[in-house]
Amino acid sequence: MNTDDLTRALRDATDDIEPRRSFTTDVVRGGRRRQFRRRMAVTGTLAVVMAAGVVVSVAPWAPTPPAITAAAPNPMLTAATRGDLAGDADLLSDAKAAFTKGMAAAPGADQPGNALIGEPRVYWAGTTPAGKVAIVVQQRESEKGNMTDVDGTVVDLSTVQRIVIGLVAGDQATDRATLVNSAWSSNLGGSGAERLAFLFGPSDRYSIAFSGGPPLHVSPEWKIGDDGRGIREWMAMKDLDGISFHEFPRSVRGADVRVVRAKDPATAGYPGALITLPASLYAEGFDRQSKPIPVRTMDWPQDQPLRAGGAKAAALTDALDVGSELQAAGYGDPLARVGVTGFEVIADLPDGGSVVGIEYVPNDTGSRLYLGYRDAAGKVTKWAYGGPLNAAEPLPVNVRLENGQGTLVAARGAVLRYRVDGDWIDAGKDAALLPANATQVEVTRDGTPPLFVTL
Amino acid sequence: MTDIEDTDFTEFVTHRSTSLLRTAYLLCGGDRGAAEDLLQDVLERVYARRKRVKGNPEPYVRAALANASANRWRHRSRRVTETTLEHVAEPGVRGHEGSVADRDQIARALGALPPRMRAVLVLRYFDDLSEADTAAALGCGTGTVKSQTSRGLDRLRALLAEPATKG
Repeated sequence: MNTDDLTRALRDATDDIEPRRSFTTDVVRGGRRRQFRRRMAVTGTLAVVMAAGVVVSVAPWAPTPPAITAAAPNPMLTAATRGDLAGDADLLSDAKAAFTKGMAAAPGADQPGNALIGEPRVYWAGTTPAGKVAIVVQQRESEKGNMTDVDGTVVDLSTVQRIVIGLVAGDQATDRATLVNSAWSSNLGGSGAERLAFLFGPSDRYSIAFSGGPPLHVSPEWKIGDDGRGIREWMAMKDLDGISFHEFPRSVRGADVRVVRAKDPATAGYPGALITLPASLYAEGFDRQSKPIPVRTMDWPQDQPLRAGGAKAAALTDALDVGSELQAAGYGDPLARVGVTGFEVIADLPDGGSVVGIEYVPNDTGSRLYLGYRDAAGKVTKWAYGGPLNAAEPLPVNVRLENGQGTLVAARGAVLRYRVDGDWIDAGKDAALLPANATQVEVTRDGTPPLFVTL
Repeated sequence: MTDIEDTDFTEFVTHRSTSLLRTAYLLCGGDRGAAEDLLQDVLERVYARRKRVKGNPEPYVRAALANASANRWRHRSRRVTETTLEHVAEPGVRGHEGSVADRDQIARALGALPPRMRAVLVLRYFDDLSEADTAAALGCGTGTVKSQTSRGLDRLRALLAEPATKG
C-alpha cells in the first residue's frame, strides 16, 4: 500500500459516516452548559476568596451586564433585485419556484438549523452567456440566545438573519429553471457570499461570484509548460450589475478552477482565494474529503526506491515535504489542494552528493519526473524537471543530468545494459546512472526479447 | 480576521461536522460511538473558547481532536478501547494497484497503532496536512512527524498484510 492508496482507503472507510441529526444542537447546548458551569465555578471561587478575606465592599462583584442589541439586517434579504431581468415577473416567479423545489433535496437541507422560513426572494436576475440566471435567497430559522460580538456588544441571536443562497439556471435537457447550486451563509456583510464562487453549466465552464471590493479573477487550471514549470492564466470576470461572471470557451474541470478577489491574481495566494463550489459536485454534497486526488500513471511502489548501482543515499521523502518543495520551485500549483508523490530512483554522484528522480502528479495530467540534486550533506540544492512519465515506454526514466554527470535511467524489474560505441556493458537491474557518452540502452525483462532505446 | 461568533460557530459545526466526524472515526480506530463522543466533547470545549480562536476554526478543531484522541486513549476512557491485532479483519479487497485494504480493515488497523502514530497518519493522509501543519497540530517537531509517519506506514502495511486471526 502506498500513501496514495492509503488516502483512498481512508476516504472509502469513512464515506458513510454522518453525524446524528441533533448533533449541532447538542454541541451548542453542551457548549453553553459548559460555559455556564465554568462561570459558576469562577463565581464560586471568587465568593470563597471574598468570604475568606475582609469584606471591603458591599457592591456586587459581577459587572453590570451589557445591553442586548439587535443584529443589522442582512442586506441580501432587503436589497432591490438587480440584473437586467429584475423586472421580469414571470422569470422571478419561476426562479423562486425552482429554488423551493431544489432546496427540498439540497445537500445539508435537513441539517439542524437549516430550516427555511418566510419566502424566497430573487437577489439578482439577468442574462448571461449561460442564459437566464437568478440568484435566490431565503432566510433560515434564527438561533435562540445571545452572542458577544468582537467589540463586546451582546447581540440577540434571534435577530441575526441567516440565509441560504441558491443559483438557478436553465436545465440543459429541459431548459426549465433549476436550482443548480446553493450555499449557506450567515450574512453578506463580511463573512458570507463574498467568499463564494459558483461553477455551473456543462463541465462547470461558467463561473459566477459576487462583485464588490477588489476585482474578481478566474483561472481554469494549473498549466504545465515544456520546462515543467506551471502557471495559472487569470482572466478578469465581467461585472454584470452586482454579479461577476465568466465563461470558459471550453470544458474545464471544476476541481481545477480557482477564483480570487485581488488586484494582482498571480500573487493573491490562498488569502485571496474564494471557495469554489462546482455544480458537478453539488448533487453529491460538497465536502473537503470529496476533493479529487490526482491519479498516478506509474505503478512502481512508493516505498521501494530504485537504487542505481546500489546507491546509498537516503530516499527523498524520508526528509522532505516534496509537494511543498516543488511548489516553491515553481513546479507545483500554489493553489493546489492535493499533490501526489510516487516512486523514487536514487543515484550517488561523483562529487559526494546524489540525485533523486521522484514521480509527482501536480494535476490531472498524469505522473511526471522531477530531479532533486543533493549535496554531500543530503540537502536538496536544486530542482529540475525530468519530463512526463509513460509506463508503456521500455525505459520510463531516461533523463540527462546537468553538467554532464550522465544519464539516469530506470525500468523497474528489467536488466539493463548500455554501450558507448561497441560492446554492451552491464548496468545492473532496475536503475542505472550511465556515463554521459552512452548512446544506447538494452532493456531486458524475464521471458521477453530485449528492447533497445537510443539515448 | 474576526473572532468566531456564536452564529458562525453553529454554522461551522453544521457544515463541518461530517468531515470532522470522519476524522474522529479514524482517530478512534473505527469506533463510531467513541468518535461522536470525542468530537462533541472537543467542540463543546472549543465553543467555550471560540472568542480566542482567530480565523478559520477548522485547523484548531482538528488539532484539538487529534490531541484529545491521544489523551483519551492514554486515560482509557469508557468508550474508547484499543483494537488489538486479533481484531484486525481478514485481508481486504485489493484495488487497482493490488494494495487497497477494505474499509473496516483499515480503520481497525489504525486502531492497533499507538495514538500519536495514528494521529500523524490520519492528519497527513486523510486530512492532507503538511508535515509542518501536522507537527503544529500535535505540538511536536517535524522530525517526530517524519519518523512517526515512516514507522506508522511500516506498521500499517504489516498489519494489513497479516492473515486473518480468528478467535
